[in-house]
Amino acid sequence: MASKAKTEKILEIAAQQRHDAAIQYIRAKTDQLLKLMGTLPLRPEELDDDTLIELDPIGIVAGSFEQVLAHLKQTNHELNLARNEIRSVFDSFGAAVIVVDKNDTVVDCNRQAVEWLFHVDDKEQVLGQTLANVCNFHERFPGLNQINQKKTSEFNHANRSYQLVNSVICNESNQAEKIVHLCFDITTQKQAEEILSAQATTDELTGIANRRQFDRTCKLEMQRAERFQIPLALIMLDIDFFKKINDELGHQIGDRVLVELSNLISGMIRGQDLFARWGGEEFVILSPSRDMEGAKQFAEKIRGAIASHTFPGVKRLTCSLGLTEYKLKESTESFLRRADTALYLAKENGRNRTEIV
Amino acid sequence: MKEPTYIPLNIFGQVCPSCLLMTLKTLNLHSSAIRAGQTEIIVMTDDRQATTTIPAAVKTMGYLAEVTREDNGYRIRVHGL
Repeated sequence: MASKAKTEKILEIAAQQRHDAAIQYIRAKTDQLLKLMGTLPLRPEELDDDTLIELDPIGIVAGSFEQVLAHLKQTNHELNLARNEIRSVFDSFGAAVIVVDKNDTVVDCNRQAVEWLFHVDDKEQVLGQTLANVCNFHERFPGLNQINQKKTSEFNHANRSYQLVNSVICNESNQAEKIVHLCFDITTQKQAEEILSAQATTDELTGIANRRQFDRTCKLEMQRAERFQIPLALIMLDIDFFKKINDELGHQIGDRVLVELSNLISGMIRGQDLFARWGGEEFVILSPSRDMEGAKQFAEKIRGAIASHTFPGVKRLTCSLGLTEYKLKESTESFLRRADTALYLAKENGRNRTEIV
Repeated sequence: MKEPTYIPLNIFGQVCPSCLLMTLKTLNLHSSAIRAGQTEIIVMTDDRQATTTIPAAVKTMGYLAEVTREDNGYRIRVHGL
């Protein structure tokens, strides 16, 4: 009997030990979960074992975790939607966007960058590569230490013009980590500028340079003549009796004569010469590196060519020319005045001739 | 929109972690109604630590919480979006 009682006692103690171990385990796991929820561990003196089982803290926290996970899933879903939305904005943006890290490795780019700048089928072909590996205009792109966010630059690629704007992405400790290269296609704008600029310097009727272009070039050539000590000749040309052509044959014929004469002379000048319409029926030719002897022969050649040319609708057409040479240190006005005086003399002396002053 | 119903939860005299556990228990029980905005829990407590732990925990579950100071303690409003 004594032995049976002893066995029972041993079993009872063992059961108690298992119970204690289970309670200890529940408390430990409860504390672990409470810590995850950001609060304090349970205090045994406040919560006896029976109340602990009744309260079921593990059950409560497990229920809450179910909601945490559901919330996380929902948040991830929303995040994905937002990411896709941002991606489609990124890809439909009217500029090529390239994001590189501090080693100049492409970490992201949009559809425009792939099409306009990299010319590949898929952006995966450029991601992870350095810019130098995937394009030939990488030198146009500043590195992290060269970035000036206020400054924009321009570059040409595949017959298009781009304006480049840079910005920096910083990490959480506010250190520059990535660069965003924004490339705006400004080709149309550039072309419009070129057309405007050409219009501003071209004579509408004849298509040759206008007076504005002449003024600009004349100043530059005077400086060149000064610096390199080279001659600079100026011919002023006026069609003889042009008013008569306009009055008797009409302005249409007059305009045709001006165009024809412009084409004729344009075919006779050298690359470095500038032929411009001075106004009305008056033209100028600026001819660098031609001495007076050469310039005189040139002027005579032009006079002869015009006199022997058949202008449609006009029986005979001649012109008078005034020739002069640039004198060092003189002003544009005095240079031009002398050519004008020479032209006046040619008119005075019977027209269809060249005079030199 | 219909005015939500309120579930008062008076846990004066209790301290953390019990405060949090009581709140979570109520929240688990009424989760869908609270999420839908039909019900809100109004926790009344005098445990200052609960004013940090309860809002932090319910936010990770996707709820909102605002704490206001009352004469003899705090009032924590737990609600859906």
